Amino acid sequence: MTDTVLRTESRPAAVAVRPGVRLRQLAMRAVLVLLLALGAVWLVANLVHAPAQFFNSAILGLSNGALYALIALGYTLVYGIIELINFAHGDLFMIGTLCSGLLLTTVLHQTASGGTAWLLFLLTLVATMAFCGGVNVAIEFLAYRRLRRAPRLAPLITAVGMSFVLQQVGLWWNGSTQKSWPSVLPPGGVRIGEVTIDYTFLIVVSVTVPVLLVLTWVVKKTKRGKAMRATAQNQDAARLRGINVNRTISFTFLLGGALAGAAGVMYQQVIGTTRFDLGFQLGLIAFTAAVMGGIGNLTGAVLGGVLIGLVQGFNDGLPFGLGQKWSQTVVFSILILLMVFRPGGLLGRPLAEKV
Amino acid sequence: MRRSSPFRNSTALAGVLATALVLSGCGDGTSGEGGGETLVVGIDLPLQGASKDASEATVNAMRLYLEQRGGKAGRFAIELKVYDDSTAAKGSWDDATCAKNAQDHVGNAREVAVMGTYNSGCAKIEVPVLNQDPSGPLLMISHANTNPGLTKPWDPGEPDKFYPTGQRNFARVITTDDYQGTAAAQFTAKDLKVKRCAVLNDNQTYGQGVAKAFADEARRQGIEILGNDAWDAKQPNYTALFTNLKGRNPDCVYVGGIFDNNGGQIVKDKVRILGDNATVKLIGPDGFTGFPDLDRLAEAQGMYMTFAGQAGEQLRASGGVGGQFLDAYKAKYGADPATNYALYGVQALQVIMAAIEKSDGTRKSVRDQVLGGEGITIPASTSMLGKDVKIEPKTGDVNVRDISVLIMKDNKEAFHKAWPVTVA
Repeated sequence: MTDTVLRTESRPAAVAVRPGVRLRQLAMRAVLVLLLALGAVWLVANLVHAPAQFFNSAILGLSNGALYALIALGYTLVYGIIELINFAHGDLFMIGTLCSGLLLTTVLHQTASGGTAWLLFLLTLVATMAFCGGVNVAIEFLAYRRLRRAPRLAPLITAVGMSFVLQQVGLWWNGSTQKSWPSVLPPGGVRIGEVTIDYTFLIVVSVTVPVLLVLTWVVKKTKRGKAMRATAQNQDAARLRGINVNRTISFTFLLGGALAGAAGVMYQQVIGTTRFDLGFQLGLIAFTAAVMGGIGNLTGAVLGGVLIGLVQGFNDGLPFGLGQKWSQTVVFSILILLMVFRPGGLLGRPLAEKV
Repeated sequence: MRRSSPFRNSTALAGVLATALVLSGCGDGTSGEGGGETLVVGIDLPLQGASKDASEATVNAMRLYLEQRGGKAGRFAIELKVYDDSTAAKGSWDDATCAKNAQDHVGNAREVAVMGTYNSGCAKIEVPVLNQDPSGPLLMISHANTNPGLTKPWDPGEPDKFYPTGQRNFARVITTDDYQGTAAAQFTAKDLKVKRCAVLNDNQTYGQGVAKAFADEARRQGIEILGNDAWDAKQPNYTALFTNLKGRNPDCVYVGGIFDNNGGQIVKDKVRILGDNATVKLIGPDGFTGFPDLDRLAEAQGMYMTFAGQAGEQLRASGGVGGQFLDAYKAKYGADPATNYALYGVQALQVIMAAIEKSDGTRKSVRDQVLGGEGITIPASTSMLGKDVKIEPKTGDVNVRDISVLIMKDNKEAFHKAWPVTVA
C-alpha cells in the first residue's frame, strides 16, 4: 500500500469459514455488484444524454470536493495521532473564513482580481493559517491536554463544547446572517467546447494537491513525522524513546489548524458567502469524507472529500439527478452502504478496536 | 441586549405611557372599569438575523404612529410590547420561539391583540394557540403573512386546522401569494416576454406556496415551466444546481423563497452559471425585498421583485396619509424605512386600534369587532394605503390587492410599476 496510514493495528484473527457465512458473503457481493452496476448505468445514461452538462457538473463537484478534502485532512490528521474526533475542527474552519474576510476584504480592501490582490491573497493565506494553527494549539493546550488520560468520552464532549465556543465567537464576529464577500481570484475559466473549467477550480486543486503531498512527506519522511507515527502507536513507548509527546501533539494540532485556515481562505474566496454555523454543515461533510476514506488516512480523506463533492455535483447537476433536495440523503446513503461493505473506509484497514 | 438599543423612541414612549397611567389613576389594566384602561398590543417579529432591519423599521413606524395618535384608541391607552420570534443561532424565525411567544401572548393578561408575524410559517404555529385562549380567541393581524393557507383553502386541511375552536382569529392587511405569484407570472409573460422559466423554491411554507402560484399562472400565460426544484439553504453553493437548469435552457428564473435561506448565494451562482439578469431574467417574491445585503450585491442588479402591496414611491406620489407618514418617519429617524412592510405594520395597527376603540376592552370583544359583524373598515381619508381598507369578517382577508413590481437598480429597490391583479 502506498497510502499513508498513521496507525497500524493487527488484523483480527481469521474466523473459521462456515458454509452459512460464505453464502451471506456471496449475497453481499452480489448486492454490491448490482449497486455499482446501477450507478454506472445511471452515469453512462447521463453522459450520453448531455455530455457537456456531465463534465460541467463533474468539475463543479470536484471543485467543492477539493474544499471538503482540505477540511477533512485536518480532521483525519488529529484523529490519526490521538484518536480524537475533533468536532471543533469545522468551526475552526469557519473562523478561518471570517479571518480571511477580515484581513483581505476589510483591512486590505482587496475586492477585485489583480497582481497586488494576488500577493495580498497569499499573505492572507499565510496569516490565516498561522492564526488558525495558533488557535488550534491553544485549544489543545487548554482543553484536550489535561484530558489525555481521561476516559475517551471526556475529550469528545470537550471537543463538542469547543465547537460551541467557536460558534459563539463566529456569531459575534459575523452576525447571524450570511455575508457575501468579493473575490480576488480571477473570474471566468478555460473553455473546452461547451465545458468550462473555472480558474477557481484550478486554484483550489493547485492548493489541495500540494498540501496533501507535503503532509504525506512530513508524516512519512521527516523526523517529526516519525515522532508523530510513534506517538500515534503508543505514547508511553514513544516517551521512553525520548520523544517529546506533548510537543508532537501540539505540532499535529498546529498542522491541523493551519489546514483549517487554508480551507477557510479558499472557501471565503471561492464560494464567497460566510455564515457562523458553516462549521457545522461543512464539518459534518468533512467528517463524512474522512470516514469514507478511512479515518486516519490522509489520502483517504482527500479521496472521500472529492467523492462527496462529485456525488453532490452529479446529483444536483445531471439531467436525471434527484435534485438538491436529496443531496444530503444521497451522500449519507452512500456512506451507510460503504460502511456496510467496507467498514474501514475506502483506504482504511480493519481495526481491532472501534470508536 | 439587542432589543433595547435600536428603538430610539422608547424613553419618550414610556414617558407618554407613564403619564397616561398616572392620569387615569388606574394601575391595574384588567379591572374592566370604563375610562382610561391601558391595553397592550403585542408585536411579534424576527428581530435578529437577516430580517432585523425590516423588523426594526416596522416597530419604529408603529411607535411613531401611536405617538401621533396620542397613545390612545378611544378611551383606552395603548401600549406596544415587542416579542422576538427569531434566535441568534438561526438568524431567522424559529419554530420553538414562535410556539413560546404564542404562550406568552396568551399569558399576558392585558394583551388584547397581536400585530405580526412576519413569516407565514411562524403564524401557522401561533394562530392555533391564540385561537384556543379561553378568554379569547386572541386576535392576530399580520402585515406580512402572504401564505394563502392561513385564510383560505390551499394545502390539505387549511385553513380550518388553524382554528380548532371554529372561530377565526387571524386577519391581514396584505394580499396573498396566490395573487402575488399570479401577478409576477403575468408581469413576466407580458412585460418581460420570456418563454421558458425555471422555478426554484426554498422548501418552506412560504416559498413553495408562492413558487406554485407563479408556476400555475405562468403556464396559463403560455410560459413553459422547466420544473419547480427546491434549493437546500445549507449547501455551500448552487453552481451544480444551475448547471442542471442551464441544460434546460431557460430565459428566466423565478426564486420562490426568502433571502435568509442563503438567497445571496443563489443570486450569485445564478449569474455565474446562467449569465447576467438582462440576458436571463431573475424574478423574486417579496421574500427578497428589504435586505440591504442583497441590495449591495452586484449580481442582484437588474433583478425584479414583486411586493404584495404598494411601494413607498407610489404612496408618496398619491399624496395621501401614507406619504405624509413616510415623510414624518424620515424626519424622525433620518431615513426611509428599510422595508415597505413598515407601513403595513402601521396599517395593521390602525385596524387593531379601530377594533379596540369599538370594543369593551376584552380580547373576545376586540376579536369580534374584526372577525364578526360588519368587520372593520378604515376609510380612504385616514388609511395608510390611501384607499378604503376593509377586512372581510368571514375570512380575515383584506379587500386591497395591490401588487408592485420593483427592480434592483444602483443598489436600491426601485419602484418599477404597479400590477393590478385578477385571478381566474
